[in-house]
Amino acid sequence: MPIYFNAASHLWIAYLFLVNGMLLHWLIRARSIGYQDLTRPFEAQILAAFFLSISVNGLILLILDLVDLPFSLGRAAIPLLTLILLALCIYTRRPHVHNSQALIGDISCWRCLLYLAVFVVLFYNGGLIEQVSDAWWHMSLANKIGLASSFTLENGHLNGVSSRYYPPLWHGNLALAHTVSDVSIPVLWNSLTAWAGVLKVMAFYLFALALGGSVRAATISAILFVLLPGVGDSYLRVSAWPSHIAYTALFCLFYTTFQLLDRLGSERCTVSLPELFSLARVHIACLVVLSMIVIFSHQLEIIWFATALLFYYLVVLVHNSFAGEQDKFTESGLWIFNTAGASGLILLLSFSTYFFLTQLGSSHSPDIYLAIGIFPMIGAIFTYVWFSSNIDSPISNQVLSRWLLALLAVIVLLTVDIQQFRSLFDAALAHTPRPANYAAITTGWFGHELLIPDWSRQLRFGLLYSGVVSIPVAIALAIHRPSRLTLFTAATATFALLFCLSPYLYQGLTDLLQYHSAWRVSILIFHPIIFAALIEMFWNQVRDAEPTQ
Amino acid sequence: MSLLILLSVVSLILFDARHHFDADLVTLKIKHQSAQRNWNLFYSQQQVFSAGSFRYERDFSEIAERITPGTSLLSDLATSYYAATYLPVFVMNIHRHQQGMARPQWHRLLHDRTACYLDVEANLWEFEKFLKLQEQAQAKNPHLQLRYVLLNKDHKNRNLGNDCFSLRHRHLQAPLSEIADLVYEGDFMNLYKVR
Repeated sequence: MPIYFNAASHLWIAYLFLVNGMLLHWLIRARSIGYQDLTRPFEAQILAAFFLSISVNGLILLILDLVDLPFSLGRAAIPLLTLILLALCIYTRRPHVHNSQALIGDISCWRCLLYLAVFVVLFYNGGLIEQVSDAWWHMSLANKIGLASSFTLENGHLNGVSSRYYPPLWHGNLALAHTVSDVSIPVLWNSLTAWAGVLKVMAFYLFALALGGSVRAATISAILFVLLPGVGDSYLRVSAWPSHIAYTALFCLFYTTFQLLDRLGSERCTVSLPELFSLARVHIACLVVLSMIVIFSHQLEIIWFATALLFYYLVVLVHNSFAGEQDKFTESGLWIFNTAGASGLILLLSFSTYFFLTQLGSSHSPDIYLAIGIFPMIGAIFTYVWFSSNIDSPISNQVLSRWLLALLAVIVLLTVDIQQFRSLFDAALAHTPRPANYAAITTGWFGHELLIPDWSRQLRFGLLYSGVVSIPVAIALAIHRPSRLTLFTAATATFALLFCLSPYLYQGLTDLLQYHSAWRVSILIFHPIIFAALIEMFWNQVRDAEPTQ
Repeated sequence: MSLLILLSVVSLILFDARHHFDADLVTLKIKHQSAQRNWNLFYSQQQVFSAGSFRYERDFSEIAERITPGTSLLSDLATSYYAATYLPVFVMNIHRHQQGMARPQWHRLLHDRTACYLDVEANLWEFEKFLKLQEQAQAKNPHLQLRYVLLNKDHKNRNLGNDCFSLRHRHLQAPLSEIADLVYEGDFMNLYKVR
């Protein structure tokens, strides 16, 4: 049955989403040592090829749209680009780059087997198109973009009326693939699931590698990412969705960020902007490109990226406030880390305060005011803690910082809804769902309604049991073995769970983001990485405990 | 102690990973029409093939040559989404949460089953009346006037099993012929153009 093994669609996918990007990637590698370092792993090279391809495709379509030319010209433009890039690659070929290791990158048998297994399973399972779900909404949009040869549609793509902006980069790429190949969009979507699933697993490996620096732990993380249930990003059968392209880019954003910090080293002195640019221009450029890909494919993941890094920074502040001088944790690229963290704090404090003040005139209940007021309080306390840690002044006081943090912890824990926690394990205790808000309803201290995540919407399945168990594990690891990996994963997992357990935090987050599905913050529970770190730690202990001959 | 903790963690992982290897879960999800978002060793391409649109591709290719681009089409829910993806048309019948503020009138005709029981004379009369009113109301928006009706005759696609418009396709053919011309009759699809 030809549709099962639609080789044509897979060949077109490989060509349109990898070849031009790979040629461009080789050209950049030939000219930049920094880029070579950043893309040393095999996975980084494949992902670079993918992101460069879809970016270039998007640019071509944008140009065609702006000059009012049909997207069918892509049939000529893409192969022409391939020829140009190939010619440039041959022209700039460096004689000493004939090492296959340099060409392919660092790769192991285990990872190859993993990616092959993921591809085969997803090829066999197919994409989630047997359900009349949002996948068809996206495919309809891609169809209309292709027909109109424009990212801007005159009418709503489905019923000609209802229209809303949706970041069009991935839909444009699908439209281009359909126009160039004549393969139908559903067949492309179905085949893309296998490719995009593998890319997502690769990106997760890179993310884990940048966090822990251990190839073994990162490999275990990637395996666990495939095996363990999770929320959102773990659904491999929906890998062709634009949000999952954004998740792949999100993991690469984390990878690039931590590689950037490592590149800057443990330099404690300030670095001027020109020096910073000189040291890290490749990383900064990659961060910009990846951010644009996220923004133009799904947008929301940029918020989670910034949020995760802010959580990490806050936990580092907490750790260092209570740790002795010898035990303080120092992140690489300290000056940049501190500056970015401080900027995040200022943003949190100013934005949440502004939002709170603008809501003061509205007739909200006291519970709502508490929910949106808790964020300026968190921002203010952490700003003082940062100030005390970094600035020598008469008002800096480490003891006061500790007391304030302890007080904040007590306040936040008091807002936790115990029934919500219990209902995670026992669905009979669940709060009343409110489908319109993708949430459930609970009652605040002053008797008014507050939103809380509805566990039945993917969360219960995703968190039980490894997701939930990973959180105390992460906290224990962060306390006993503070490192980038343990502090980061503990920070993101703990805050994410708190947002799901505290109606005040959840309501406040929903109102601040103006987003009905704020429960998706739970994707920041990176339990595969937590367990991989634990497994590696105990495996080393078991191995070291074995009697030597 | 380390070995014990290690074994506990591995046991937890194996326990949580079991759903990928659970054949019964596949059957349960199909029965409850729940989305199979996670991979499963026992989930085959047959599911995607029988409950997706691949078998209709030849019909859609033929219909694409006969249909006027930029017009509106009525069909069952699943086929509407397939049509929106394969054809240059707008579709009337979509999920409520994706409708926004549009077209509540169509919603009533579909959800009070008037459109599904056109073999009842009163319903056919009401449907015709509605089409005329729509034509007048949407004189400035011709793309919103119903031009085509698409019947999906497939009986294997489980997405059609809950839709009265698809389930009653045999009963709808005769009354549709009174108000529309049969433009295409394929293996799975009949396309009618409203007169």
